[in-house]
Amino acid sequence: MKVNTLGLRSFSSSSIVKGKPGYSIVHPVHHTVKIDKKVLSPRFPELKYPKNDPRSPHFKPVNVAPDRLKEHYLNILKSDLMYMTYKHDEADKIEGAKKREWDGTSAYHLNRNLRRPSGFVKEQPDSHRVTNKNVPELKSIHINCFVPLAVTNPHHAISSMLQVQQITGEKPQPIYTKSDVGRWQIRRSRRAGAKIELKGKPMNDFLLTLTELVLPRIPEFQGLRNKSGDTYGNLHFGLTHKQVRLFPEISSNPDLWPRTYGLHITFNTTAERDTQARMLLSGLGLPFFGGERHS
Amino acid sequence: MLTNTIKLQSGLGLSLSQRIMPASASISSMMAGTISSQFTRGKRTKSKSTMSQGTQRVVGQLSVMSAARKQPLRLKLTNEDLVRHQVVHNAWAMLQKQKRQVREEKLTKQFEAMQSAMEDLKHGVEDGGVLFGFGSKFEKTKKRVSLELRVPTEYPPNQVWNHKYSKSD
Amino acid sequence: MITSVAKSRSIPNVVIPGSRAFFSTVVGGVRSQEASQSSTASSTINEEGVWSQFDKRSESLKIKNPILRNELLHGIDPAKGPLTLKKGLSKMKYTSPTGLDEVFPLAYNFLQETAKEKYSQVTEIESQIAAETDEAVKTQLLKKKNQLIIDAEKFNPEVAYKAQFSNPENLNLDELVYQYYYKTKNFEGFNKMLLMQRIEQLHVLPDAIPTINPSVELKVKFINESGVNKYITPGDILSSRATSKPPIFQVNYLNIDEALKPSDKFTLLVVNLDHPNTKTNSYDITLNYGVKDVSFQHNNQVLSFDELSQGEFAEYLPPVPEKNSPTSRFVTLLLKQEEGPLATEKLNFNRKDFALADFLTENKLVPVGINVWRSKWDGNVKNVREMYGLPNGRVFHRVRR
Repeated sequence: MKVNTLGLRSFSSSSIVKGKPGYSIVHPVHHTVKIDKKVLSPRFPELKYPKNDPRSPHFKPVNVAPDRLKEHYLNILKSDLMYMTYKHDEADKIEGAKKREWDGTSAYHLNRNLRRPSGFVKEQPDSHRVTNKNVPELKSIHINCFVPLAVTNPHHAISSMLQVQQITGEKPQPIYTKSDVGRWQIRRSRRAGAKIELKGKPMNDFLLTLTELVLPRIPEFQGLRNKSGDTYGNLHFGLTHKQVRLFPEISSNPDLWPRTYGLHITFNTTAERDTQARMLLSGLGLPFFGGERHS
Repeated sequence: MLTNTIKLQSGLGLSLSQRIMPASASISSMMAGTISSQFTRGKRTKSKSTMSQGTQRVVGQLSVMSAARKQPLRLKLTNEDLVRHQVVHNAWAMLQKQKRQVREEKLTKQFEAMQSAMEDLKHGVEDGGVLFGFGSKFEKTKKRVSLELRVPTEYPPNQVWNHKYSKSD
Repeated sequence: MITSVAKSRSIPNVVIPGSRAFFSTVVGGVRSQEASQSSTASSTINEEGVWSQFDKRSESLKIKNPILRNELLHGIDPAKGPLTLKKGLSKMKYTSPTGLDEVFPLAYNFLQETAKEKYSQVTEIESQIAAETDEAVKTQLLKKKNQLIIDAEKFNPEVAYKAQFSNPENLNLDELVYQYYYKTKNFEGFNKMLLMQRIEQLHVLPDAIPTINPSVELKVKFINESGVNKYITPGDILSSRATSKPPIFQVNYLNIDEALKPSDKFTLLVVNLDHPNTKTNSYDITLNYGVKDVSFQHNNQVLSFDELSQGEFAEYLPPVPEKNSPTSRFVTLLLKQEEGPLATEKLNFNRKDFALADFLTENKLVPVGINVWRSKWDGNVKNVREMYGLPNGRVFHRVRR
């Protein structure tokens, strides 16, 4: 007797007995409960604690000192910036130039990629009116220290990394060359300098050192160029290898630094326009000079 | 230095084995200020490092950046102290939350007040829009916070404000 | 050279987030050294606050051991060392983190003040509930009230200590805070995940019921001569001796938003999903135990034997798996009776070929809790069969005889 209704499990036979190997399938899940396998495993119990628990190996004490710059921004600057950026009867949202449809005059328009935005190569982001909810704020500072010399002499990669670490107090990441250019003596995927993204307290500390100790000591420094900026609220400027020597961490012991390396510093703000970003940075103690580009 | 001595000695026609002298002799040579290369068990005979000065510096720099130096001390708390820590942590978080709410409320009120004031200037005052025009004049460029606005410090200078400041200074 | 290069980024050995800033803000924005010092010297915890009024609140919210309670509220005495460390040497060596003892009273008093506000809101809501007639609004208000009670108590160090470090079986789960802690940490944080993993791996879900998201924790244990006296882990393979007597159930109702009503009735079923049926060359579901109209009011308590025997509509049949049949899955289901008590004469079922899905739809039963254990043939099965007067077992062979 052989009764086997389709879909029922067969009791008397199995694929193993038949000599057929099973095949791998992902079984369907019949419930919506999320399962964290890390919690169920008995291994590494201390890794299961959240990172702000002192029992976790990832625990790092935060808020161990007051943040001057943050308090200054919240107490004084934020409301000022709100007033400065205010414009009555401004639209809540100004849409940036977007890609356009083809007009359909040709049969070949049917599956063609959309037309580029008028006046731009790329799509532009929307910009919003500044209210109490979105007052421009400094999000992060990126420091990029590219040392092409390090391609031929790897010692420079290490020294530049340490220099960035000294200045910021945080652990930098290495940067690698991306292309082969014989004339510049650059070869692909060689370590060539260091980069770092600063946020929160380390970012504010770095900015204060920069505006209070380093920039005032540079005689030729006029300020950030008013033309700098990527039009979306991120400004940047550079320091030469000589100017880097003015950081107190390096100037306190110049003998240890026979060689220093120049930096590119990018201020990443939540402002949607460069003019607003400049307003913000001027309030944080950075001077500006030169004619401004309208954007 | 040691290698130099050996070179010097070999230059005089003496091998290293011939340099081994009785203890009394070595003391006298030390007293005389000469460098002795007397054999002592376990003492390194080679120079400490053959690395160049530049390489030595880089090795030192690497060790400064090593992960072990960045590892903070692990705190071992008893259960009582852990709960006490949690109390402080939660209180701090709650305090920050309350302060943030107060700040946000204040900013909202400021924004609304500004908006209604401008609305008053536009419609409430019958001056042909003079005051409103003055208030809403939107400078497109070069709106800056004055550079004299400093970030407050806990230890301000003795002369807090230079009242006689002029741009020509 | 190296040490001089090392950045002056010292992470102080202090756990307290911004203790100094915290001081100054709590004291009232005073930043001067003297002010914070004077506040340090005089700061003690307020022992007349809402967290200490034990004439009004449950004793279960208090730590009974006076030494431990003192350590928790007033700090560890360095002369005696912490109570929770056992070794003399480690007691001597231990020091509390710097600044913790100074900042703790401020933090405690601050949190206690916020708790006081929450309790005043609770009394306000209670008066609103008394005046309210609309049921939907009432349940919303109740939900809000429960949340406020939890928020008022969850940062209380005594409660937090008990919830984290005492045996969860001894917690008074009728207190909303403990229910909250047990639900987030023990049930949803571990037990439920393990249960769902096991019932999915053992294919209980499509075989017994289509799906479930348990809101009630159903725990099962067997007491027998061998002394195995703990709640089973879902999916355990149990011996026939262990399962020869009816199991003991414990139910934890962990729905904070919706309180349990005295009129709520539940049905308990134990079914075997793997009873071999040679005629169909497949498996039948059999009913091993069925109890209706179960009710419970308190958590962390075993369901009483009397009540179970009153509502019993199918008495307990122990697992007696056949020799050479695959491991059988025994699923315990807790089902909520949507339409109140069930009438015994209306129950329509066949124990040997139990139509589980039809039984649930006919009687309007909604699964709220689940558990599973497994049994397979062993040498004691024969004795269990004799004990319950069951017929002799069958023996299956690879080639059907």
